Amino acid sequence: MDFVTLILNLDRKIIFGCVALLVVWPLLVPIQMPIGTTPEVRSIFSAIDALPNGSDVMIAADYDPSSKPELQPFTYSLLAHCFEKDHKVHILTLWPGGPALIQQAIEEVGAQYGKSSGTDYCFLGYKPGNAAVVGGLTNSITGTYPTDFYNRPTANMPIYQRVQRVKDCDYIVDIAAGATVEVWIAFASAPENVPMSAACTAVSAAGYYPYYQAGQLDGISGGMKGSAEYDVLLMDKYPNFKNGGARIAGNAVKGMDAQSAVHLFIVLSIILANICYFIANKRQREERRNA
Amino acid sequence: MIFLKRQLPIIIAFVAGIMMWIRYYIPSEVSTNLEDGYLEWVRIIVGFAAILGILSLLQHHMLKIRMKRPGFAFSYVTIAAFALMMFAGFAPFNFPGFAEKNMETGSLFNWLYEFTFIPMQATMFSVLAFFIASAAFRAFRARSMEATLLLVAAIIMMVGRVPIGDLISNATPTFMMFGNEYHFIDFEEWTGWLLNVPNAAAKRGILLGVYLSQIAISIRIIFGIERTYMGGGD
Repeated sequence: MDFVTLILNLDRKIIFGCVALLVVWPLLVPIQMPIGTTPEVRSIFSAIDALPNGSDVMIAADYDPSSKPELQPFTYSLLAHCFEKDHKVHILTLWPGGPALIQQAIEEVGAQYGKSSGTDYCFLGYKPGNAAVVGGLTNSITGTYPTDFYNRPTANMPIYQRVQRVKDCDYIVDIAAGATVEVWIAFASAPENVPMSAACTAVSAAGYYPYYQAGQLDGISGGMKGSAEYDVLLMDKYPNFKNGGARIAGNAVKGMDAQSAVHLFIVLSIILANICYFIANKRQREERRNA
Repeated sequence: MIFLKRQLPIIIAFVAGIMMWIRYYIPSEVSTNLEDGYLEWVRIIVGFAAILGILSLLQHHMLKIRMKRPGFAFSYVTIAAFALMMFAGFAPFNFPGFAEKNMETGSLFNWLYEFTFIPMQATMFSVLAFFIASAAFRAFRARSMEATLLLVAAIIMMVGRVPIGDLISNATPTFMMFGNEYHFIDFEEWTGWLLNVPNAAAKRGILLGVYLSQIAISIRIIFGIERTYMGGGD
C-alpha cells in the first residue's frame, strides 16, 4: 500500500489518538504562546473598565456544563473585573443547568474580593421563560425575582434600594451558549437603552456580528479564545492578576495551547487528505485513459 | 366542546396578541401593570412545562422498561439518577458527610452536580472534537468551487482564531502599502474580514427573513388564520 492510499484509508483511531495527544500534551507541558487581542473583546473590556466605580452591571450567565470550558473562564474574569472596579453585580441565568456553575463563580470571586451577597452582588438564580423573565426585569427586578438563589427576599437588600429595573443598570453582559443574546437585545438592551456586550461559544459568535456592526452589541467574545483575550487584557491592566494574587484569571489562557495544536493538526490533516485525494483522482483518470 | 377546543383559544390568542401589541405603542401605568401581570402568567405557564417534562421523561422510560425494548437497562439508570437528584435537592436535612442541605455549596446535590453532572456533560461535548477532526479529514474535500471556498474559509478561521495564527502571521515578511505596513499572511485581518463582511452580510439577510416571517406568523396566529398550534392540521 503506497502513502496516498494509506492516508486516504487511515484508521480514524489514529486521528483520535493524535487529537488526544495534542490536547493532553500542551496542558501538561505549556508552550505559553502569546495571545493577541481582537477589537471585539477589547471593546467589552473598555466598556466595563470605563464605567464609573460602583456602577451596576447585569450579568446573564446563560449556559450549562457543556459550555463550561469556553464560558466559565469569561464569567470568572468578568466578575473579577467588576469587583476590581467595585461594580455592583446582578447575576442570573435563564438556563436550568447553570445555577451551580454561577454559584461557584460568584462565591469564589466574591470571597476573594471580600464582597457580600445582597450588598455588593446578588445572585438571582434561575427562572424559566426567557423573554418573559427579561421582559419582567425591565419592569421590576425584585418583582420578577422576589427571592434570590438562597431564598432571601430581594426587596430588602441594600443593592436593590437604588436599582429597581434593568434601566437602572449601567451595563448588560450576556454570557450565552444558546440564543439568549437576541432576547436580551430585543427585550432589555434596545428598548431600555442600556449598553450591552455578549460572550458566546465560538460556534455561535459569527451569528452575532450583525448586532455588533449595528452597535447593539459593544463587543463579542467568542469561545475560549475570547475568554483568553479578556484574561490577557485583565492581566495587562491589573498587575494583581499577573502576579497570581487573584487565582481567577488565566484559566482560558492555559487552554489556548491545546486548542492551537488541535486546530493546526486538523488544518494540516485536511490539506494532506486533499493532496492525496487529488493525486488518487489523477491516477484513476490516467488508468482510465490507458485502459 | 367545539367552542372550548376551537373558538376559545383563538379568542385568547387574539385578545392577548392585540393587547400586548397595543401596549408596546401606548406606554402608560395601566399598560405597564397589564404587561407585568401578563409576563407573570407566562412565567407560571412555562413553569408547568417542567412538570410536563418530568411526566414525559418518566412515561417514556417506564414504557421502555415495561416493553423491555433494546437498552431498557439504561432507563433504570435515568430514573434512579432523576430520583436521586430530586431527593438530594428537596430533602430538608443534611445527608451524612455533607455540611449543607438542598442546593447550598457543600450539599449532596451540589456534590452530585459538580462531580457527576459537570464531568459527564463536558465529556459528551469533548467527544465532538474527536469526531469533527475525523470527519474533517475524511469528508472535507475541494470537490467543487463552493466546497473549495468553504475549505479555504474554514482553514483561515481555524488558524486565525488561535494564538498560532498570530505566530505564523508575525513570522511572514511585511510590505508597505499606502503608508501602512502589512504582513503577507495576516490571519487576524483575514478572519476579521470574513466575519465582518461576507458572514455579517449573509447573516443579516437571514435574520431579516426570519424576523419578517415571525411577524407574518404572529399576525396569522392573532387573526386565527394559523391554527396548527392547537394541534390540528387546518
